Amino acid sequence: MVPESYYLALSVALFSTGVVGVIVRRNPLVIFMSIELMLNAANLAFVAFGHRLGSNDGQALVFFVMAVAAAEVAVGLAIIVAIFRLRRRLSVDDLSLMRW
Amino acid sequence: MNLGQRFYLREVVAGVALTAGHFFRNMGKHIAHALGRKDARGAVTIQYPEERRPYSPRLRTLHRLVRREDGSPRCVACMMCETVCPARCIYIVATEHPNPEIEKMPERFDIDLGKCVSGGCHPDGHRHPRVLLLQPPGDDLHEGDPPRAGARHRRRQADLAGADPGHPDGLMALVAFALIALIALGSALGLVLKRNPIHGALFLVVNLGSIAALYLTLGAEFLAAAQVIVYAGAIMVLFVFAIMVLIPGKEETGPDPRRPWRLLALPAGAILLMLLAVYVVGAPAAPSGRATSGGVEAIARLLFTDYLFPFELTSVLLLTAMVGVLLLARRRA
Repeated sequence: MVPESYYLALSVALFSTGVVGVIVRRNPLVIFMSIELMLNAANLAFVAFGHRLGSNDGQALVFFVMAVAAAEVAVGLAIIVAIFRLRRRLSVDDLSLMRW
Repeated sequence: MNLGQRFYLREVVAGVALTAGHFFRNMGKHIAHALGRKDARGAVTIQYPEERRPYSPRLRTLHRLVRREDGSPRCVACMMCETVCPARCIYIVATEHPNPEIEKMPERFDIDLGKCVSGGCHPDGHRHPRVLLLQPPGDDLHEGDPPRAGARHRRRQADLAGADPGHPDGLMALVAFALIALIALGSALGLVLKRNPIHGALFLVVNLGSIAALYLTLGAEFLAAAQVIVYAGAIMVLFVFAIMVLIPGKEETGPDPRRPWRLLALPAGAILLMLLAVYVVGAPAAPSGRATSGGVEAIARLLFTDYLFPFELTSVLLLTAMVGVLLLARRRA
């Protein structure tokens, strides 16, 4: 059996990759996808911990994370489409309207 | 087992060579047969009613009651075969035998051939002169020697106990994990590094699929299925749709005025990676609990008992998201 710490290491690496993607990229869609990547890394850690502790609670939590991610993607993409409709451009650098 | 055996590589190659050998030999024979050489026959094809395959002397699937010298059945109606029969196809009605030393004999002994799976009906799997009542042609089992059969049975049991083919030991699982992890990491990097968002979306699909595979290796079958359906199925379709609608690929081609700041993300990410690695991987190993059953039933039981309230909240959340999306996507009058 593969030790759970390997899964955690992979989860950490995926999460860091997602963080770098959120910071580096300028396209809000790609930033969104990087956020999905981070959510999945966290899910993987949940399942790995649940496996180590011998409980199914980790999997139940991942179920909720999936539901929240689905809702988040729907709303977020709707917002992005609405912004694109208004400004005809799509770059996070332009979206500084709400910054102090 | 040593390292070479644990990879199963030699055995895999040997098995493939055996199968390929049969394949090509049969193919050659079939081709020769088709080309007119009628004496060349493939191994598998037997024109059944005209020609019949000779039975092996070890065949155990033909039913026949063993007879005594006087012609009466040797069966003593002990009911053991009726008990062990997996198909429940044997019906025995016992009656008194006139000989008091034999005690019982079958009044009726019926085998429902519509149900029979030809399992052989060997209670305990070895030859027992009183138990066994079914006999293959040309092999009088009552003349068989129980000690040797018993030794064979014990050897088979030992073989079964020794190797557990259902759980290949750690190395193969480790290799599989390493492969999936490499795919996951590579696709994650592809998502971050590729300039075209549609490529990034495809990489993300690969990543989500590999994580579903990892869920499978952790015994979370339900989550693996949900991952594929919800993420790869629903969420990625939304993403691809949005990318197509928003005419991408032009946003990140121009000069980036904040490039130095953005490149700071790399050392920041590296530091984050190290911190997380130290905290998470170095976490004290918790006492390993019992093996979980990640089946749908266990998850459902949890969701509808301990997590019932969050579960109901999820429905509210999804409804709210739906209303919000409708509001956002509405065309302004």
